[in-house]
Amino acid sequence: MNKNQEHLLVKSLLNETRQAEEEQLTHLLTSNTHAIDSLNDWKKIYLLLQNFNPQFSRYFIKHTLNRLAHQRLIQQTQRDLYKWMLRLSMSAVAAVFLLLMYVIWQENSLSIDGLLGITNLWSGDFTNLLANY
Amino acid sequence: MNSYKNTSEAVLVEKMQRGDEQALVEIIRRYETMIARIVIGMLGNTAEAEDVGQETFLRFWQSVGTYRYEAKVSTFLTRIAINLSINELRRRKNRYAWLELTDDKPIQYEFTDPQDAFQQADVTDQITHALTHIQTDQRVVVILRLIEGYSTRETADMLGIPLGTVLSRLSRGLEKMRKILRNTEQQ
Repeated sequence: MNKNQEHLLVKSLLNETRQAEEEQLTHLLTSNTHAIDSLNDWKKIYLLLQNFNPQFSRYFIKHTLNRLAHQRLIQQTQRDLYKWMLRLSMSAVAAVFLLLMYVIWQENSLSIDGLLGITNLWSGDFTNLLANY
Repeated sequence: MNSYKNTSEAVLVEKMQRGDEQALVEIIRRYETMIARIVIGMLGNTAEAEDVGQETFLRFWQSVGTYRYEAKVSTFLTRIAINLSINELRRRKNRYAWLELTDDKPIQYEFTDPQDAFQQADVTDQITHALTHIQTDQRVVVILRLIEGYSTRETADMLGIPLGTVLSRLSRGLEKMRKILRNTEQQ
């Protein structure tokens, strides 16, 4: 069967044939036994398909709601984690700010040495520190 | 117990948008069977199918805030279910890519007369088996057009394909299912 004939048969199955196609369909069904067999079997399959009625398990709704609750819990945990991280990072920013303010207050300037707390350190300090050992 | 049994779909959606879980329960009750047909038709009667079914409703719940009635709830859910099923099939394919999962066993089903078949408990199994052995693109079209009853135009629009492609996929899908269901008779 060619493509047009296949379409014709499907349209016939679905009762979608137009007036102009009826004649072609009749011709096809009288001249091609394979087409008749196919159409007859397709009709049976169509009937079976219309009665296809599988079911999910009886706990389907309960399981769906459980998953919804689980998803909510995950989302809540993620939100809490985000809030905690935000609080932590804000505290860290505040600590750095206070440190900077302290360094500026102590040194009247802002330098790397000041930040590291080694502004008044001269080379001899290390020797003195190690002298006791 | 079920206070929303007679509530309209629009009201249920509004209630869902306000976070009412009972409205979701009612939506699940109304569409559970439809989603089961789609998802089990796509994936077979497996644990993944139930997971995808649950995920379909969860996705609807998550996106209900932006739902604006451009499509009916059933169409919206159908789209989600089809997309999730296709994703699951892709995942399955990747997961088992290293295994040869060819089922060489002859199909043990008989192509029975529908009148008798209706009375048999395994009709659903027969159809599930045949459906899951046709190509995914054909399966989607068969499910939407022949099982869910969307028109050919609606099916084409939903999948973004031409009408002719819907007809071609239907004929090829049906022919393949026919061969699968006839397999035992011929042996």
